[in-house]
Parts: sequence; C-alpha cells; structure tokens
Amino acid sequence: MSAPLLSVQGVVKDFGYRRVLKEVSFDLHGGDFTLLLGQNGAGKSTLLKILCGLMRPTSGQVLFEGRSVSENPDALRQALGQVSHQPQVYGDLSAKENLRFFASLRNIEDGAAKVDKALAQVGLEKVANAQAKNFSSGMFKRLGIAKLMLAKPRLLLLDEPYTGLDYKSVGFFNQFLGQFVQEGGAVLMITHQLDCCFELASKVAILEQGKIDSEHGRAQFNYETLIEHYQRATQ
Amino acid sequence: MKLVRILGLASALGLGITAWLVFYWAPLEQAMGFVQKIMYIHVPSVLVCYLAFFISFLASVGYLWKRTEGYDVVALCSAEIGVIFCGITLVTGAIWGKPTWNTYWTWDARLTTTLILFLIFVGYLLLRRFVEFSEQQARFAAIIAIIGFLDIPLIHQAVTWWRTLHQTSTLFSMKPGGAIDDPLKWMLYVAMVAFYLFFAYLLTKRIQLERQERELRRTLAALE
Amino acid sequence: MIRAILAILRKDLTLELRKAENFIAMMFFAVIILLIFSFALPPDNDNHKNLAPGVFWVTFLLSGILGLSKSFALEKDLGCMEALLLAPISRGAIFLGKMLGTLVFLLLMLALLIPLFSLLFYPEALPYFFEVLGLSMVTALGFSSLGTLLSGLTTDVRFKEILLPILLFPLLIPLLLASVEILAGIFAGRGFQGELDWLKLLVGFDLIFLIASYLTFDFVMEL
Repeated sequence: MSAPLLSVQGVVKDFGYRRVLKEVSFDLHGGDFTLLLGQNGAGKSTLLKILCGLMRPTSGQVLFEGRSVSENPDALRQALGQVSHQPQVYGDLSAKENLRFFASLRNIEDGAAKVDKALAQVGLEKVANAQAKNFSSGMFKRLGIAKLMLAKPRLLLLDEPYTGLDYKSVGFFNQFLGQFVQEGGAVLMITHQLDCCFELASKVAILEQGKIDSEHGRAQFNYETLIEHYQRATQ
Repeated sequence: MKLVRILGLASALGLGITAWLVFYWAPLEQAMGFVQKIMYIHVPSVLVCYLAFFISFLASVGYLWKRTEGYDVVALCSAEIGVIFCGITLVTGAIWGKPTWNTYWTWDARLTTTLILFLIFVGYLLLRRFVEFSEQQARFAAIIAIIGFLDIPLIHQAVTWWRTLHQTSTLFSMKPGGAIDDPLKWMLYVAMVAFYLFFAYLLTKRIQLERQERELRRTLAALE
Repeated sequence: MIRAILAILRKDLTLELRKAENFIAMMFFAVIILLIFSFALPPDNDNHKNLAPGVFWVTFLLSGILGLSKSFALEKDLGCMEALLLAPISRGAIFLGKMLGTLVFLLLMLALLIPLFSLLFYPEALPYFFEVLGLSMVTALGFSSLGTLLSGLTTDVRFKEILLPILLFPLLIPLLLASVEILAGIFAGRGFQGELDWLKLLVGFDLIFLIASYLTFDFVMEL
C-alpha cells in the first residue's frame, strides 16, 4: 500500500474542560473517498478543522505526506481544497473578482485566463460580473468548484457541502467529486445527507464518543445496513 | 504543599513584624509626619505589582512558545494578584496624597502609569471572562499580557513628560540631601521583604487552587 | 509575500469603495462628535486654541475604532476568514494586508477630518493641513497596527463592541499623549521642531507595536 496522503495519529482535542476527541487515528490515501459520520456534536467539524491545520490538537499529530501540519502548514495549504456549508466568497465582489483574488493568493500563473476558463466550466460565465451576494446556494457551490479547479488540490476536506443544494447542483458537484477521486485525489466528507453521496464513497468512518469506532470498506455496507448501523450508533 | 505552608507562616511573621516595627520602632518622618507610614504599604505594593505583571509577561511568552498549560496558570494567577496590589497602590497613593498634596488624585507620572497599568490588566481579566475557558482564551490573554507589558516603558515615558509633580523616587536616588534617613530606609527594606514573601505565598496558593479547580472541572465534565 | 499582501490590500479597498456607506457613516459619526464637542465646550476661540489638539485626536480615536471593528467583520460574513486562512500564505501577510487597508482607510478619513475640524471647531487648523496630515500618518500607523491585532482577537468574542475599546484605549495612551503634544506644537506654528522627543516616542511606539503585532498575529488566527 502506498504511503498515506494524510495521516492522523492519536489526535486528542479538549474544548474547555471537555475532551471532545479522545485519540482519533486514521489514514487517508490518494483515491480514497471517506465519509465521516457521527452525531451532531460528536466533534466532526472540530476534527476537520484540526486536519486543515486551522486548529491545533491538544496532543497527537496530523501528518501531510509524512510532515507535521502544525510545524509545516504550507505544504498542506498548497495541496488542500476545502468546501463548507458557508459560501466563502465576498458578497460585494463579482464572481470573477472573487476567483481572481483567490488565484492571486496562490501565485497562479496566467490567472485571468484560467479564471475565465473555470467560470465557463462551471457554467457561470454569464454572471461572471454580477455581485456574488445575489447568488443562489447552487451558484455559490459552482463558484466554490471553480475555486477548486483553479487551486488544483490533491486533498479535499468537505464539511456538509450539500446544504441548501437542489438535485441538479448535487449532480454537478458529485460529477466533479467523482472525477477528482478518479484522478487520484483524496476526499474526506462530513455529511448528514447520505443519499446524496453514498454511491461515491469508498470508505465509511464513524466518529462516536470522541473516537473513530469503525472504519469500514465500502463493500461491508449497502445503503440500508449503513443507515441502520448509523441510527443505532447515534441513539 | 509544604512550600505553601512555609511561605504562609513566613509571610504572616514578616507582615506581623513589619506592622509592629512601623508603629513602635520607625521614627516619625519630619516633613510628612504620621501619614508617611503608609509608604511602607504603598512602595512595597507597587513593587509587588510590577513583579507580578513581569512574571505574567514571562509566563505568557512561555505559553505561546511551549503551549503547555502550566504557563497559562502562572500567567493568570500572577496577573490577578498584580491587579490586587495595583489597586492597593492606587488607594494608598490617594490616602497619602490627601494630606501631602491636599488632593486625593494628582496626575503625577508614576501614579498615572500605575492607573493605566491597572486598566490594561483589568482588561486582561475581563477578556478572560468573555472568552470561554479554552486554549484560545490562554492564547488571547497571553497576547494582551505581552502587549501590555511592552507598553509600560512607553506609558511611563509619555506620562513623565506630560506632567511631573511627584518627588523623584527618594529611595533609590543617591543624592546626599534627598535620601531618606537610615532607619526609615531599613524599615522600607523590611516591609519590602515581607511583601515579597506574602506575594510568593499568594502566588503559590493561587496556582495550587487554579490547578485544583481545572482538574475538578475536567473530572466533572468527563462524568457528564 | 508582497504579492499576497497587495492582493489582500486591493481586495479590502475595493470592498470599502463598494460599501461606501461604511465610510460615510464613519465620517458622519466624526462630524457628530465634533458637534458634541462644540456644544459641550466653552465656545470662545481662546479656549478652543487650547482644546483643539485633544478634541481632534479624541474624535479620531472614537470614529477610528468603528473602522477597525469592521475590518474582520467583512471576512466573517460568508465564511471567508477560513478560506483566507487556508490559502498558502503566511499569517504575517494577512496581518500586513489588513493593517495597510485600515491605514489607507483611516488616512482618507483624517484627510477629510482636518477641513471638517477647522470648519466646525478650530478655523486656524486648515493652514497646517499638510503638517497635520504628516503627523496623521505616523499616528494612524500605530493605531492600525495595534488595532488590527486586537480587532482580529476580538472578532469572535462576546461583547466585542465594548471589549475592543476597553483593551485598545489604555494601550494607546502613549500614542494619544504624543500626538496631542505634537499637534499642539504644530498649531503653535513650531512645526515638528519643538516636539522632537515626542515624535521619537511616537515613532518608537509605531515600531514596537508593528513588530509585536506582526509576530503575535499568528496566535490570534488559530481557531
């Protein structure tokens, strides 16, 4: 087996006096599409923030390609794409300006042309100069995908990306994800909308009482047994 | 545990001796009279206050560097005690000021600096209240302690230029005429030692308490 | 690094220009403070001559803090702060970009404040426009360095509207004293010559807190 892209080793996180994560360990390889499931308040978002390097674990460490994320965050940031339920765009800038801004933070050569191309690929070329605050959630998601296309990440960390999306946009997003994984990228996704993404997932990890209890291959689950297991676990 | 008890006894003894000496042994200062005796509280308090803020500053730097909780506990406890002694300094300064300058408050340089420091570190404690207990609280507080401490020389210089009414620091100036009479000076040294001991006692006791509180709260949170 | 700083600066300025109502509100607030001073203080010109430097800088502090607290609010709006933090740039670049944005914004405000101030409070100020603007650059640099740090620190804190001035104003006292004294010197026709010591103190303040804020900003931006 190849070396993991992201390796989580014994991560513990205290929040106030409470221990939210008690030793979480798992690996993420290129080509993996892992669903991270768990109750509300189980610490999924906290774990994701630690993986991104936005938060420091109380103990334990996260390695990206073998190097500690807290000591060497730049390598991870360069390779990371992140989508959350928030649009992460500036409402008073146009779609194009938003993309150009994020492209300029990444030192992308020939940014302007690539921005136009990405906008066309996600079908936003007609509203490229409209202010983003008037966008629908589907358009926000498309803009987010365009941002990812520019950044060319190898690792995607997604926190409830389906919130507020209609079926058409879900399809569009899934198509992007499917292609991303096929090209060797790794995805870790938190979601409650299992029906949206179950077909894509290759692994399922369940975060319960601060630990990743079971990490299963896709083959062990069909949709019904997963739902059942999930409901039992979250009771 | 043992250290705390020894420090407690020593500082009780020290403060007792100081109090006795102040009233029964130290001669009356000629110019200011009886009210001058408050100096034996005022001067040691301000020194303890500065020491406490300095310790808080060092512990804060240590926290940001090493990220271990111990430093945060020291920074918090030391800042709390510093604020108390800062308050004592301001109150005794005002009591001293009334008969000496005929006003409770003068915008004298050192008193004003102490007041601003008081405000900065009360802000520090408020920030600790407003941010929930977390590693973030420790980080934010450490930044305020560091910035606040770095500001002290600037504040002092600015306020000194702005207005100087106070006599120059009589204890440390070596000018022959201005120095305090010998017994008075020795009295002040004794008071300072007693206050430093008392500070050491308070700090160790407070740190012990804070540790126990955090441990207890963690245990309770784990039980939930 | 420089590229990222400029990108953030340009983005912030574009946003400020589009949301001009923020700036207008801030200027309007400054005018109201000047009016309040005019009503509350004795009206004759002799008094105003003594009061002018203090009134000018107090007006600046009170309206400037409005501009500060906004600087990070616009990042939080649609979750951009996270995107900014995940971009492959240093925290120092984010700090400098934000700080320069605030600085430009404050200088623009000060440039308009000087004529307004001479109109509403102290007519003799206008001939010294360029000296006052020069001083403003030095003062606004210190203000926006420390201000950006603390505004970033209080973004997610409860009661940040109260906490920010409680933390910021005591720390700014050396800056305020120096700026008032230098401005008094300027209004007395001595230029900067009379108050060189104060100017050194002010520049020292700027340098110390520019560096200290730059270095500690990393710790503010962790979640």
